[in-house]
Amino acid sequence: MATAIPAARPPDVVASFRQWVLERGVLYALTQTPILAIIGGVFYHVLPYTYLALAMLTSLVLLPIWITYRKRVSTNPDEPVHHLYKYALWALPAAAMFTVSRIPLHYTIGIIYWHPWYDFGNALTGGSLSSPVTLFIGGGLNLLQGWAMGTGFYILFKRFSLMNVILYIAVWISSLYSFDFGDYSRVGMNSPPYWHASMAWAHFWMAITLWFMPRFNRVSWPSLSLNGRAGAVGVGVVIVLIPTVFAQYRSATWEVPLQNKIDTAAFQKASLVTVPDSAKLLSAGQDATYSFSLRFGPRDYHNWFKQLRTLDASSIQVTGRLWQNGQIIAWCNTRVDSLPTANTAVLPQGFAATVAKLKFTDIAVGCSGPAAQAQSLRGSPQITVDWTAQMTLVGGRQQQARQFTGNQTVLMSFASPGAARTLDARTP
Amino acid sequence: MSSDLLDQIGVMALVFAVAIAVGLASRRMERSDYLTLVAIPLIAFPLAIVPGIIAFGFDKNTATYVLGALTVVTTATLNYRFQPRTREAGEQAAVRSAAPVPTVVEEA
Repeated sequence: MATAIPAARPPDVVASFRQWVLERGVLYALTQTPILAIIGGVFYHVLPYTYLALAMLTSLVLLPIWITYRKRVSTNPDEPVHHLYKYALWALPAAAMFTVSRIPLHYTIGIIYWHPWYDFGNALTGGSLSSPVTLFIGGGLNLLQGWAMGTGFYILFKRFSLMNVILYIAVWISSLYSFDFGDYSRVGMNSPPYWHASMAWAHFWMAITLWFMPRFNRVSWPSLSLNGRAGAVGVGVVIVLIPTVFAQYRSATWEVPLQNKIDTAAFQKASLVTVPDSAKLLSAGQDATYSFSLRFGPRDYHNWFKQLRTLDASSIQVTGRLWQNGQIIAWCNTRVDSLPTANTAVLPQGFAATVAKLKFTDIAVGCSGPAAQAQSLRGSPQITVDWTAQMTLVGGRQQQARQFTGNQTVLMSFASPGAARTLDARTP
Repeated sequence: MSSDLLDQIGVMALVFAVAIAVGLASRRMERSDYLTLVAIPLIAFPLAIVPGIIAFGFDKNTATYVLGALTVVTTATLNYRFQPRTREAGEQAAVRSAAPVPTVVEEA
């Protein structure tokens, strides 16, 4: 009697995918919100970072609920939810190694790892971009992102092999960082190949640590004495603390003095001069109105992490007089809250061109005087402009109240044929 | 292609090659790990990279992502297709298929 051999059942793709989502996908998504918040909020500007931080908090609430649920229903001892506390612990030194490995690069090729931390801290709290508190909070967020990345690796992968972690962290994440930082974040900064290589270097050491930790836990930890274990924990704590401690140390001893020096140089370099031939008679009705321009600059400079910036100025108050033949023909008074700036740009594209355009910025000054005095301009349009300007110069860290004065002979022009016709009509 | 792009791609190709060389001793990866490594760069491309290409064009940073993604997919495929399992891993796989109670496997 012939026996029918049942055909091999094809793998149920939908069921496998559903199982993957339940066992790994949801947990991965819940642990990756710190990375999504930084990418969406600080890089892509999809939503303000504070909104996305709410998603982070939501996942913080949902995570224990999901863990409790899966621990209750899971029959698979391989499911990451059963090992999450270990993964979370192992990911911490790995996250720190991402930064620790760049400290030698700071001294050799000038890599400054902590400047984005100011942006991260500012995105969350709105605090000053040069405050040690902002730096501290940014450092914490940076650690949180690295931790999420490392935990994500342990959740996604069944086997924590060197090849898996290198491909995921050192190659894929590095290439994603090269793209995101290069196209969305490094405003006013050059990103030469060695900078991209330094990011890959840091991710490589993070990957090596992620690979090492489970091995250490399995091979070395059980054989350690109590003192040995205390020492190992101590080394881990030191590795986690080094990035923030080093950043605060370098900020206080190197970054602040350097930026102050740069600010002082930028303040000294900036000047305010009358723009030649900018004096205009605008109208000559009951009162004659005039304008002239002052040119402020140069405003471009590179800050402590070699980022191109514009020197800002605020609370600008200009007073002055227009003279002709020893007589005052108009009084000038103009207030400007602040000059246009390139420093608020959020994308690198076109930034250098904007800074170049703002290298010298013109400030229009308005004047007015009796219409009768304007009549003399028909005969001799040469006048003297004398002015005083007060402003607050705003650098990367410092501000300086500054007063400029000027006195220059210029030729008056007529802004419109109408102004000239009005003078003609009044000329006896 | 601009010299900037070629310089960056050249340096990153070298860096990725050195990193992968360190991992060459790893044995063949699990099927699910292989699928994860192939899927992630491909899924991320339309979500994270294409909007940037539309906004800023295909620049050296996009090229670096494409290089990284291709490196991951190619290396993972080569590892999964051609890397032999170690004898120990083969035995473990056989035991697992006989008694389907898997354990956490860490790289030896």
